[in-house]
Amino acid sequence: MVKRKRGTFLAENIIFIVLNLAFLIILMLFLFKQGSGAILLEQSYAKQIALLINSAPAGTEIQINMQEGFELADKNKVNRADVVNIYGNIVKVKLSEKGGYEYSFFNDVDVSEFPGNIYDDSIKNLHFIIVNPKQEFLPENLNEVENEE
Amino acid sequence: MKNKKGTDMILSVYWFAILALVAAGIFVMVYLFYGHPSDVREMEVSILIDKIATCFAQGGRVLDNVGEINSGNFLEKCNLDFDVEEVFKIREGQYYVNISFDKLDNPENIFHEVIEVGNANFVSSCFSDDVEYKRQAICIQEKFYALSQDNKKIMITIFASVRKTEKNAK
Repeated sequence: MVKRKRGTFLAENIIFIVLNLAFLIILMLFLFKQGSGAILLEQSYAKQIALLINSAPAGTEIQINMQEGFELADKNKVNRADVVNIYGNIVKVKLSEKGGYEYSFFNDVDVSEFPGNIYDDSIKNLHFIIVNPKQEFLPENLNEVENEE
Repeated sequence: MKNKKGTDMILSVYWFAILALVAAGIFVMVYLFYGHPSDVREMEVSILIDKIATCFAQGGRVLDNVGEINSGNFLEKCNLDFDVEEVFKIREGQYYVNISFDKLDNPENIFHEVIEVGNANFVSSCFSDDVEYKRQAICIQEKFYALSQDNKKIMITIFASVRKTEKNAK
């Protein structure tokens, strides 16, 4: 009968348990990282903002809590003012240097946006979106500007 | 006497092979779940229909300027912009709207011409039984009643459709 040394038996089991735990921890980290990834958040925010603009009448001010997005942007060294950009009727949300997700809205309005003041705790995690009626650039206005120059 | 060490080592190999298979399965499931974009088209179409409805009638009454709206100036009059981002192959073909006006007391008389704007090519996919074709576009039709200026009962039918498949369905 071959007697197995106690030390060998214990070490083998410990190594086995440690490897299993390592596997589970890596798996859990992967799952959590996927859920809070920049790509997913960018898409979520862009679509959310586009739908809000679509449903908002002219003269509406929208405040969105983007705490999670701003934290990720700070971590990825993206300026908070560059997180949300609206040009024409397209919303672009960028939470990483090389990232960015665009989504268009069909409401024909002029939209301005800006992040909350970072030094004011009550609004630092908010992003403000102002929906204004479309400004038509009339030829008469252009002549006035040229005359002034 | 049999040496059990060799047997234990072989079992460990099988065990880690099973773990690797389980991990691969979980990775695939997570990729499929998070890799699938969120589909907001149904909400988008609903908002579009509400916006169009307020362009033609408010408070149960058809607005005075409805007669001035036609397919050519519909987008401008109702403050809509159907232009989309560059990723879509057809930039001006992601939306479709069809608005019809029926007089309830005398269906033969036309209250207003049918207004049709956008790309109608993908609309047929909404009526297909094929699951793959149904994901091509989301279509919703809503009807509501309003009174005209001369108190005639009008039924306004709005059919709206959004494609944007590349960003909402995979």
